[in-house]
Amino acid sequence: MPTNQDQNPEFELITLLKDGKERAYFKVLGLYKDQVARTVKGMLGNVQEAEDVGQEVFIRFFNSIDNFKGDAKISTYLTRIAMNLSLNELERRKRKRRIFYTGDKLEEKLISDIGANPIENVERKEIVRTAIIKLAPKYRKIVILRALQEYSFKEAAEVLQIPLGTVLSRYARALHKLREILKSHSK
Amino acid sequence: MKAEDKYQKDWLLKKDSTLSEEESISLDVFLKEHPQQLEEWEILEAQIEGLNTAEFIFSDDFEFKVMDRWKREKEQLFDQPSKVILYSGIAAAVLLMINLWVSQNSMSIDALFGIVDMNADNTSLLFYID
Repeated sequence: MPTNQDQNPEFELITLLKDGKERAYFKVLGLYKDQVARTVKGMLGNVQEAEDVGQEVFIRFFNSIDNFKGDAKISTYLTRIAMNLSLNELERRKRKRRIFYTGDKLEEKLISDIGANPIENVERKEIVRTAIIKLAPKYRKIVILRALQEYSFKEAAEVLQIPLGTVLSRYARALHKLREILKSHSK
Repeated sequence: MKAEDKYQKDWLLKKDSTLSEEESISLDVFLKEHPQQLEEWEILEAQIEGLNTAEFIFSDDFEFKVMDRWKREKEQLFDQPSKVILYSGIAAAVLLMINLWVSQNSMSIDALFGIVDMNADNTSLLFYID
């Protein structure tokens, strides 16, 4: 009969976390900080608030570790928290009507570089990232999970807790919208 | 739903190897008939290819910042119930202080100790407080 440990390879780490072992907390941070960074910075951009949100993601996870049943992978759980907190931050920004970090500088780059030599251009990635930021959050979330986290569509559906069909529709729609954004800036 | 939309979803699922064999055959037939459609989808996806290598990272001391912040939040000096007790104590002390001032008709430090009228004949604190 399989034990919990056989069923969940993260069992030992979760046990150590629940026991309050500091090395386990550092291990989680080491294992998942890049993943959380990709999610949060993908959603919010490369701003200081992104790092604050990233810290909050782990603090929420640590605070709720006693209630963590292990029915989802730690990575899934963290990505879900990261997505939710990023959306909260976007809402906060919206309320404050703050201008996003990209500002005029990157906007200018977007306009001037996109039509030039897009594939080889080192800044191309930055331009596309900027365009991704312009997508509505519901599309952005899926693009981030797919392009930055390399999640399968099934995993993305699990993280976002929406049907697989919706994920696929939104992803396809997001790609079209992204092209429109990039085109509009290359004119 | 338009056929292209349906097949685009199937094409995406096929990339994840989660498309059924039957649907996969159907997709192949569609793409054979509409090769330009495949090209279109590939162009769309190419827009975001390579982004995973982008430098979406936190600062080097991120782990320590998280642990510091978490510990600080965990080890706050007063939790909520302690605060209630603390504020109740402060309120009681203020009331007692006012009571002492009024009963001894003096707002001095001595009054706070209940010893305004203390003398050699009467050294009982309780007498004055009462």
